[in-house]
Amino acid sequence: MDAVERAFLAALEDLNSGRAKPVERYLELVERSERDELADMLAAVFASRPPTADDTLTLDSPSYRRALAALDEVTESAGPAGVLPGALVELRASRGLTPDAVTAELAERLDVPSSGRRRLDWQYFRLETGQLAGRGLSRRLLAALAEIFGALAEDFLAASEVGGRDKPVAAAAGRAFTRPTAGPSAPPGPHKPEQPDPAVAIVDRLFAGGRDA
Amino acid sequence: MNRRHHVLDAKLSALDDAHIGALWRQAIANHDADDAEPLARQLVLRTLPTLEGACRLRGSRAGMSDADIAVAVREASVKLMLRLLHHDHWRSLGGLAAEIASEVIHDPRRRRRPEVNPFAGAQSSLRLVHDASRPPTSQTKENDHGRS
Repeated sequence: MDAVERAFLAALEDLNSGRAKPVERYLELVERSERDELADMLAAVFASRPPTADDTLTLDSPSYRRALAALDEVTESAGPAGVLPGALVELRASRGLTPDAVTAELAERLDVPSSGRRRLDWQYFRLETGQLAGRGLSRRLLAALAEIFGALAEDFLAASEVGGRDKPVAAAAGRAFTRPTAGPSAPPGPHKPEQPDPAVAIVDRLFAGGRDA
Repeated sequence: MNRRHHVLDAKLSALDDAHIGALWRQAIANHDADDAEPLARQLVLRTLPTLEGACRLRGSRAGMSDADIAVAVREASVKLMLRLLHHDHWRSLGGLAAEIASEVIHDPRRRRRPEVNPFAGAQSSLRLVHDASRPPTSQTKENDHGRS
């Protein structure tokens, strides 16, 4: 029996007897090169183990409150773009990204010309504040956003279709003025070029041209 | 605070896991995202111990601080809920939670909070003026002597 197996069995025994120690204590029992293997084995136990009395989270526990706050951020946003706006705000905050950082990445990934950048900022602001219809969002945009936030495009697609099917976009637009903005930058105003700019049209298609735009 | 969701949370919490799972699968089969949403929320809340345990395990192994792990748990909660709005091809909810936790922890694009307080190393530039009656020199400014 090698060190990994010994540490794993020790952890298992402790877990089963309700005397589990912090995970770090078990990882310290093996060489650095073997810790990934042990961590994988312990993670599998966590995943397959039925909840015990010790696992029960009370309504007052910090973990429960944190998760509830995160889920509230998502579900409270339900509107014309489903729960996607709240999910974007929550994930962006979790990653410490500003809206500018997100739109800079979007511009790069979607080949938006620099002249369309201001329009991109504005449309992204409208997306996060629930002013856009979910079904207008293109798959390309959702895929790019999913890459930025380390998610699956299908997750964002589904999120954009939850709820709000009967709510007109205009009804949700009012929330833009009461919702706290998570980013430090002020929302850019709408870009109204006197002459049609192809870059603006590209951005508008991404945000409102439908799934296949 | 969304009271409607919390009332639904409370109602659904009275049902056992099998019942919640059956209702959720029915909603997914019907492609009814509206019905699936509160059930997905409930499933995430019930899987939280696994999610948190997996984040803590992977996070501590990756050298993350408690604050980083707490943020990762929030992110994993949201991602698990989004996944449960449409995806039902998993054998174990705990397994899915652990998988998402692992993805969140190991995502190289995640930004971590600095472990060192950026202000801790700052050197004070204040200095004492021992003789306030001395006239200002090129090294001292008028305000260093106070005002009478």
